[in-house]
Formats: sequence, structure tokens, C-alpha cells
Amino acid sequence: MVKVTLVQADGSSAVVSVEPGQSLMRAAVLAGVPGIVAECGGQAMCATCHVYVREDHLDALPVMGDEEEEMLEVVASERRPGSRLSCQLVGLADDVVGDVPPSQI
Amino acid sequence: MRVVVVGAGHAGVEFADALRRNGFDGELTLLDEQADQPYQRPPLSKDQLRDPAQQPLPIRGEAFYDAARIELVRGAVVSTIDRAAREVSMGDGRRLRYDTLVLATGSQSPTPPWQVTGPIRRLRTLDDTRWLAPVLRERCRIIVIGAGYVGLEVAAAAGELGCEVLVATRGRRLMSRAVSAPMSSAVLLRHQAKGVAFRFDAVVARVDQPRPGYAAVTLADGSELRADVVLEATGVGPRTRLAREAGLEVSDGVLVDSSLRTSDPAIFAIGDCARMRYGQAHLRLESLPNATDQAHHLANVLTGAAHAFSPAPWFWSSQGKIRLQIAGLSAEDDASFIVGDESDGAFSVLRVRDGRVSCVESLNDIKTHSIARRMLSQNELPVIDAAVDSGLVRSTPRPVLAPPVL
Ligand SMILES: Cc1cc2nc3c(=O)[nH]c(=O)nc-3n(C[C@H](O)[C@H](O)[C@H](O)COP(=O)(O)OP(=O)(O)OC[C@H]3O[C@@H](n4cnc5c(N)ncnc54)[C@H](O)[C@@H]3O)c2cc1C
Ligand code: FES
Repeated sequence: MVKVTLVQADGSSAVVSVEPGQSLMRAAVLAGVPGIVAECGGQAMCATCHVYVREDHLDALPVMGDEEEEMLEVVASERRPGSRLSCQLVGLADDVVGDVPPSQI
Repeated sequence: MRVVVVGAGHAGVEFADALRRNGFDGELTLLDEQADQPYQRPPLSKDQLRDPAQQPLPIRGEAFYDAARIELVRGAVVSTIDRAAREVSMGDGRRLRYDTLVLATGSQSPTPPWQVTGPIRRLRTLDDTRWLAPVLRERCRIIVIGAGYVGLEVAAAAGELGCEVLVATRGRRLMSRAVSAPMSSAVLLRHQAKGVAFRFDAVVARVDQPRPGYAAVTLADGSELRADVVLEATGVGPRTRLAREAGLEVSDGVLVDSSLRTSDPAIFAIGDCARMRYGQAHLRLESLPNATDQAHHLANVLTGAAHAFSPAPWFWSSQGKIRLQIAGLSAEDDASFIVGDESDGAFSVLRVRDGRVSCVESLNDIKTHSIARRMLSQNELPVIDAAVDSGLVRSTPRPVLAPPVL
């Protein structure tokens, strides 16, 4: 189990425990973290589960697949180097800190 | 100031969240007849059928509602609206006053036009999935009536789980309301390759499911199809009884203007149940992105942050390995142009009206879909002759001259 800290635009944050095999999206939604919409339920189809992973944590992430790469082009908030779809973040190697974007829609 | 929302589905929950985020500080109540914590519907016919052990995915986690000061009342069937008193009443006699009422009641299945003995089996709710998932694990024979996206998603999941699957549909092609004929054909071939059988032009006369494990469908031509279970998936209509009985204007959906306001200025409608005036026409969409968009727009309207609503509709369906993504809105008689290789791998169909691309249907072609969606959100799908130059597609679109014969 790893711990992911998700920071909101207003500076508040939540620490989410992610079970092995569980996606960060699912863990964050279940924990009631605001700002993760996840319309498609985790299929890399909607791009509304966007998070910015902080630079010094990028090594802990699984490799990005083609689908995620393409869908990150339609995120509602600006795409940045640490942009990931949280539904595709399964099997984090270590604890991670990320930011929730201002908007998903 | 109290805002009451009837229906805590995708539109209702998303609206409540967006309203709070916009700074609304009054009372906010969500009423839903279902006992379950509001849950996501798309996985019901996809991942959750394949893996019944998976916990349902809530729309928002339990902690969210308290944190956002949203009162969620479950098991509350709203039975009437008293517009003069600005009150809704629930089946158990409870009443609740509102200043603003939002109808987010979603869809419902119409009564099938055929004779029925035994239960009508459908896949609409979490309870339906709880029932169907174990049945599919027993590698049953299943007949799905209707070849819309929910029916096909179930067919794909059932096939993967080792069931014998027959899809029987009235029309001549699948997903005829959602996609072009060439896309229908391509999707059909992929399902057939997985062993799913199809019967087109099937007019159902009766369905018998007198006991578990025995089901029969009788067609109008007299033929009888046997299976262990029959699932009705012929599509849904807007759930409008409350609105109609309250005297609101209703016609294939609760009629709303571009601010999502009904004929009563204190009452709004969003999501599957709403039919919005849009330009000269009316538009009613049954899709999650539409529910979310309208929810956000209404939150903006109510908090004075409204901007003109220009819908940029998109939609997806995943049927096993078939990933279908649609951006834009097409009409039945829009022309079709194909980009890519429809016999294998990824391709898209550009639908074209008056020379301009109206809609892009993509099968496992996320790149084209993502470009189309960005263009659509800027309201700038190109004219077809400029599709390559605009960057929408990489190769010249090929026109489909005649509808392919199935
Ligand atoms: C199995 C399935 C799979 C789907 N897959 C996709 C997909 O892949 N992509 C996609 O875009 N869309 C999909 N959809 C459609 C999508 O779920 C709907 O478009 C969306 O849920 C519409 O949101 P809504 O809030 O308008 O309605 P709903 O989410 O249906 O919510 C309406 C709510 O109102 C409640 N309600 C209604 N009347 C009353 C009353 N009188 N009193 C109290 N409560 C009431 C209902 O209980 C319900 O909870 C799918 C739908 C289903 C059923
Ligand atoms: S939940 Fe839809 S892309 Fe992640």
C-alpha cells in the first residue's frame, strides 16, 4: 500500500491510501477527494481524472500507455510535464505527491 | 435559499458539487429513491459485469457530501411537486420546501411492445448488475434484445465470460441511432469474430421467462429462440412523470431553454430527462458527458457565472476490445468519409453535412478522437476538403458512396 498526497488549488490536501492493484482514481474517489470527476469510470476514455504529479515523484509511476498519452491531449486544465490520468496509475512504486487541477470539465 | 435536486445520479451529484464550488452557500439537498450510495453507471455494463467482486464506483465518496455540506437523502421517492407552495412531497409523506428545484431524474425503460410472462430483465441499475454478473459467470445462453451500446457492451462481456450470446434487433444494423452505417458494419464484424451471433429485422412478439434458467423469445414471424436468460436492451426514454403531473411543458423530455429553465422559472432540468432548446431545434442527449456539461452550466447560471451554453457533445462505449468514441452530432443523412483501415486496427468515420465535418466516430483511434474533441470544444470542426490540412486526420478521407450491404 502506498500513500498519495493530493493537494487542491486552495492549498488543502488529503492523504489517500492506494491498495495494490487499485488505481489512484478509485482510491481518491472512494476517499471523497474533491476535483476527481472520472466520468468514464477508469477506462482512459474521458480525461476527467487528471492529476499533476510533482516532478520529484515521477519515478514512482507506471509507464504511460498510448491511450493515456492521447487522452491527455483533451484534459480541461493545461497539460504539464507531470500530467497523468489517475485511473491509469496502478502499481505505484512509492508514495507520491500530486496536485488536483483547477478543472476537469 | 434552498436548492433541492430530485435525482442523485450523474447530473444531480455533479450539479451539487459544481454549485458549491461556485460558492453557493445556501441549503443544498439531493433526493434519490435508490438506497445505494450514488454510483457510476458506465461500469455496470462493463468492468463490473466481468468482475462482480469489484466494489461499485461511487460518483463521489461518502466523505464528500458532508465536506461539501450537501444533504443526501437516499430512499426518498419524490411523488409530487406543488409549484404554488414550492414544495416537493415524498412517497412516505415527507415534504420539503424549495426556492429552486432541479429535476435530474434521468431515463426509464418504456414498457416493451411485446407480451411478457415472468420478469423483464434489464441492465440499468446496480441491482441489475448484481443480478446479471453471477448469471453470466455460469456461462449461460443469453439473448440480448436490442443492439444499442448497452446491449452490445453486455454481449461483449457475456461472450468473454464464455456465454453463448445472440443479439436480436429490430433494425438492419447495430447502434443505428449513434453511428454511421460503415461504423455499424465494422463493429458488427468485430463482435462476430468474437462469436457473438446477430439476428437483424427481428420483431419480438413475446418473451417468456417463467423460471430461472428457462427463457424463450417468439418473433413475429413465428420463430422461437431459446436461451437461459433474455435481456431487454432496446433503449430508454426520459423520465418525466413528475414534471408532467406538475404541469410543466414536456415533450420527449422536460423542455428547457438554453439556461436549462423549465416553463416554471423556479424549476430547472438537466441530464437525460431534459430536452433543451438549441438554436431552432431541441436537443436531448442520453450521455454522461451531457449530464456533466449541463450540471456545470446550470451551476454557472444559478451563481451568475453563466456563459452561453454551446454543447460540444461527445460519447464513448467500450465493448470488450472495441473502443468507440464519438465527438460531435450527426444526422441520419450526413455523408460518411473513412480515414484509416476499417477492416483492421484503428479508423474513424467523418460525418459531413453541407461540406463541414459534423461528427467524428472513432474506433480504437484515440488520436483522431482527441483532435476532434479539441476542435469541437473550440467549435471549429473543419470543412471536409481541409480535414488533412487542419490536422484532424493524417490521410485523405475516402467517401463512402453507398451504404455497405450487411
Ligand atoms: C448500464 C449503463 C451504461 C452506460 N454507459 C455509458 C457510457 O459508457 N457512456 C455514456 O456517456 N453514458 C453511459 N450511460 C448513460 C449515462 O449513465 C446517463 O446518460 C447518465 O447517467 C445520465 O445522468 P442523469 O443524472 O440524467 O440520470 P441518472 O444517472 O440515471 O440519475 C437519475 C437519478 O434520479 C433518480 N430518480 C428519478 N426519479 C426520481 C424520483 N421521482 N424520486 C427520487 N429519485 C428519482 C434515479 O433513482 C436516479 O438515481 C450508461 C447508462 C447505463 C444504464
Ligand atoms: S476516469 Fe476517465 S480517463 Fe480516467
